[in-house]
Amino acid sequence: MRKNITFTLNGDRVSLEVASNTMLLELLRDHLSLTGTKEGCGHGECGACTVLVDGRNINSCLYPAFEVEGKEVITIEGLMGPQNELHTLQKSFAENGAVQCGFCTPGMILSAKALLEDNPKPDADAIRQGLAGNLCRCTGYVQILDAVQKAAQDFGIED
Amino acid sequence: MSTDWIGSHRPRIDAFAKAAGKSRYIHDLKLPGMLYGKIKFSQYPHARIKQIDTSRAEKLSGVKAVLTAFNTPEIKIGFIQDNWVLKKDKVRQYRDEVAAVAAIDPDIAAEALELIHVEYEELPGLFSPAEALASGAPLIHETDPRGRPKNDNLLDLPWRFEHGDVHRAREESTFWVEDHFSTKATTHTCMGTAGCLAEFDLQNNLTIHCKTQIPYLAQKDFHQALTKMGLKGKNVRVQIPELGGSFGSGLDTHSYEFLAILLAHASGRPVKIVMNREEEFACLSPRQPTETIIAQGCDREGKLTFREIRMTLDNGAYTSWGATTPSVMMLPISSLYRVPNISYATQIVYTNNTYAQAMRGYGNPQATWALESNLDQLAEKASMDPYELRLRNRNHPHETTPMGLKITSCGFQECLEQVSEKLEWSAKRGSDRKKFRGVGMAALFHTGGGARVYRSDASGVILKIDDFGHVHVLTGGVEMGQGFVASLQLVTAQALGVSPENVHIIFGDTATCPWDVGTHASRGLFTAGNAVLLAAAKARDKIFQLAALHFASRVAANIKKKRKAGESVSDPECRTSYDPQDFELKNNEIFLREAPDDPLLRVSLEEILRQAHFREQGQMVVSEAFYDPENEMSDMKTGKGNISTAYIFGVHGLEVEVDTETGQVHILNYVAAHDVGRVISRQTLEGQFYGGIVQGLSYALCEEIKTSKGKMLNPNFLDYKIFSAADLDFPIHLECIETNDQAGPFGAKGVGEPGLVPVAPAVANAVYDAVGVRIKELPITPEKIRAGLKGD
Amino acid sequence: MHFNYYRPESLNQAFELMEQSSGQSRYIAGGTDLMVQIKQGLTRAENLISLRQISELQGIEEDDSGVLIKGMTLLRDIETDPLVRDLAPVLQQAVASLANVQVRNVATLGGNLVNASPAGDSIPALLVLDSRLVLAGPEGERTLPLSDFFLGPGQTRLQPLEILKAVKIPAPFENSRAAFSKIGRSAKDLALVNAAVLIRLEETTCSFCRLAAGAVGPTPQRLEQAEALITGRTINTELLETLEARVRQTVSPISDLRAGEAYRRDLAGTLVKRCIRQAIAFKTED
Repeated sequence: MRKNITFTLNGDRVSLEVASNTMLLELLRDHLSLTGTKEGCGHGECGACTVLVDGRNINSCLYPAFEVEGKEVITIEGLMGPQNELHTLQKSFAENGAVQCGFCTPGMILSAKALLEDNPKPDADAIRQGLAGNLCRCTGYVQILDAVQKAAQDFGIED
Repeated sequence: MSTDWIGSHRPRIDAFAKAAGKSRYIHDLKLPGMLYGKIKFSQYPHARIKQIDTSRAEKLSGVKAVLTAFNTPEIKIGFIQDNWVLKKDKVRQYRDEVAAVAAIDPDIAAEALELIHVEYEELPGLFSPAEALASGAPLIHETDPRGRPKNDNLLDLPWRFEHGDVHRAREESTFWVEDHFSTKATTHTCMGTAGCLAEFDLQNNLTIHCKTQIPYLAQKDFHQALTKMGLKGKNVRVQIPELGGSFGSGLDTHSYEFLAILLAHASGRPVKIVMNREEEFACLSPRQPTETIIAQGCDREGKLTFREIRMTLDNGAYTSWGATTPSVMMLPISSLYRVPNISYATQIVYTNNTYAQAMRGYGNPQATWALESNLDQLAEKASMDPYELRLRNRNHPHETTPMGLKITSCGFQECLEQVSEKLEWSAKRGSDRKKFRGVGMAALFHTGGGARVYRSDASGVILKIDDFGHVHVLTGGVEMGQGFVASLQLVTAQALGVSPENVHIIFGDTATCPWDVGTHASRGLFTAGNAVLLAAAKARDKIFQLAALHFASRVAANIKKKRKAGESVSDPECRTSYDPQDFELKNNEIFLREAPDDPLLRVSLEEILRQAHFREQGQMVVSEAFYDPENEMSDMKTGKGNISTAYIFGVHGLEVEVDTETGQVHILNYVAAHDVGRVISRQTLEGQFYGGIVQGLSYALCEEIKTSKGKMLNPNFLDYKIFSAADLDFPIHLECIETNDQAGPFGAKGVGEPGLVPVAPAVANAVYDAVGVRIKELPITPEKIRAGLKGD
Repeated sequence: MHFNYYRPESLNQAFELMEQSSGQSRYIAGGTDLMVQIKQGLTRAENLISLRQISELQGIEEDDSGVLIKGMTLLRDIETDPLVRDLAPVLQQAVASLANVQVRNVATLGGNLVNASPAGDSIPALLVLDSRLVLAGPEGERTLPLSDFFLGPGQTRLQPLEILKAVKIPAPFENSRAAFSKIGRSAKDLALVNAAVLIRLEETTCSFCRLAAGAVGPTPQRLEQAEALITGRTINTELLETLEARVRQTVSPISDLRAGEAYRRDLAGTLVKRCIRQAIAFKTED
């Protein structure tokens, strides 16, 4: 079964035909070449594939592409400005040692964005809970938590 | 602008592209005409292969190649060559490769695997060293790699270390304690799963993009495979994408890489194989499980008298570097604390479990688990404070250990003191302590100055400076997330006298980057950094020779330019000729040592290079170095040899509160003090320690590959638990002690692995201090603590 | 993994699709479990009928007897809903403990119930709230106490075409307080055991209570023997210790790779005891 779907992707209207068993992750990576979204497990357990759908962070590996019809999807590529200016969170991650191998980073940043949209001044526990669905094997999270805390101080400036 | 880049807080350069989602991992590579490879793994832990029928798979539309051991050349792998890329006679573990296919899309490849029918005759399986060593146990390998019949399931690698007279020392010890400690198989769980992409050009030269830490040793393995394939002498180019984590998983070559090569050759098209998460869990090699019997003793004053260790390692079905980890375990066993009498012996046993490899720490975590847990037992027996016992027996700078390790810089004492102070050790162990709270500590000893585990411990570097003052450092080392690039960038900037943004680290291509033995053993920055120092010194010599030729004319030209622009400039005291030794280079500018502050007597590096290069009989600046540290391979018979040029020390301590009803451990405070030699990139260094500590806590408290008859039961993050951010509800304090090592680049020692090494015994010691339950088998789960509290 | 995927906009459309589809068909809610099973090949489905577009299944409403949560309400929305906070805070506590934000942003209350995991975190909380389920089928609706809904792991009383339309939670009666608690192997985990209590105290006497626990048997369950033990009695440390022991005796957990049977027994007793302490802010000397 195939169907045409239309949705907003990083601010642009996108319309294309996909198969009914296509997951959003596959749609983004294989059909639209947005490889910033990563597949870490495919089972919704690691968060590497996190994107925002209507502002909520979700695991795109389990999200049927048909379900994004009419919705707004933001990926890591969509956080940057037109001249590749990094988003406050991206900058904060890079500047505060929150990135090592980088594989979990895009998903982690999108979860952080969803968190800060909900709760612009989160305390340490709220940040830990907000990022609990994004596993990282390199950093031990310490600098990630720090980067989100620091970004929270500047958040909202660009959004 | 500062010229001192060493120890700076500068962000890692690679972090920006990664945060932007622009970095390319193996998963992101796609070539025109590329096929997707998939592997059929065994359905039994031990069985004879009677027949493989691939006919239906071959007929499936979209399938371009189907391989089994029956239609491919025999390729053996592993350092003793006891493993095969495709299995022909027997399977010996669940992850054994019996067939592989390449198809135009992953779904077709998966469907093709379903169509391959393998007929097996199941054989009895052996799932623990004890079972495999029992008399009458079936043989997992009927012959050794040379084809001689085997009589047992022991691997012919009996690591031993003997020093002094342990038997007598035990008799003479005032106190001694013997106990049994064990560790389970755990796995790397890189967030980016493993994979590779192989392609041949029309001349049958191979390019393989793979997730490896050893591009040049892998190149050698791939060369051997090409020879078996009738392609002897063809070129092999290994290219490394962003790694997505490695932690030792990329220390050996893997069957899937050879299968991608075979499939690419068979199909004439690029073939990519990427492991999904379940395969990554179940089909890559874990950190090897250990069973250790240990005894340590001391005299009345608490001086250690002996240490005796008998260790059994579960090798799994085949042999990879896991079987050589005792060579690294020997470091802490022989040399952590001053111990006059030592006996260490191992047996490594084939089983029908997944074959083991190395993971961060290379055996050291398992050895330290037993050593440091048992040391606390000894302290209790001797009625001593465990901190005092450690302090009394600590290593000192400039001493040689029983293994012949020449300790130079050594911040052990400072580490112990820092942890004790920051943890408020004596108060927390005192009589007015809170109920169910306790503190524990453990120390570590590891290589910090390279490690001669192969005949070579070398690292090559090529340093190329272009006409615009940009420096390209071509290194054989590998960035896998640890921060190698960021650290090497700072070392290069400092060593040359240029700014870091002008330094570009190029790695991961055997065609352009010079040889390096591999990024492991915490050696990356130490060896490549030293290679950069050598190459930078050569480059500076060359630059200053060129400056001697062109400095005066450029100064004059610049003055002329300024005057033309209307500036009034007085003539500087400029000589007409200079010697190379007159110059200094800092901040991308060449100036005179005798007039370092003169604003006119300076010329930019790029100006001199352009002047020197773009002319008749011009010259360029390219230098190279091949640094091989002054260390020795340990002697296989005696175990002795100064394997590293520097050693790293560290002490971890923590305070816990144990919930006695549930057995849960709540960490209240964690302190880690490390002798790092010198901090190069502060963010990188801290990241290595935070990351190591949290990986260590995860290892200590929840990680375990659970199996039933050799089959992994928890190949997913739902049931293979690793720490998430939600587990980090306690502070971690880092203390970096700078001892300025004589051999390290700017005094630095390796820091990649140490953060993980002492975590588990520190936790166990704290739990014991809190509730009196000694956990002797990792992981330290609430269930085990609860059972201990109930006296089960 | 091949399946058709339909997105009906009403219950009737959903029933029709289910009735007319040939081959294996499944309703799918958030899919955080079902999609994984399908990807792993553990569940086969040729047709997936998504319930996400059905507006009749969305929303949280106050009704005459309490609060009505529609089946496809996201766990994340329950977690932050002011009405639920007022009327059933224990459910929020339970839901917030489940997995992580990404999962709660797609997982639904109906999905968590229909999944019928013995360890489902929302279930003990809804059991002590004496929730009822509204099940809708082509023939109409019926209601069923939640405590009658589960038949075993993954098995419920839902008829083949039926959809869990809503969960009705009665308003709390006066002076009752509730709490939820769970234990996993790390901070974020499936429950090794979870438990919830609702208790009404008069002075220090328990005049009424409901106790429930999950992962201690084939289905989450009310602990009636334990309820009887404390009802009408003064809550003190001694009684709570007796209760803890009683719960440990009466539950029948299994051993699996996550935890052993004996440990789960211990946890069940302890968690029920702790829930009571938490609910009534009971302080003991230790």
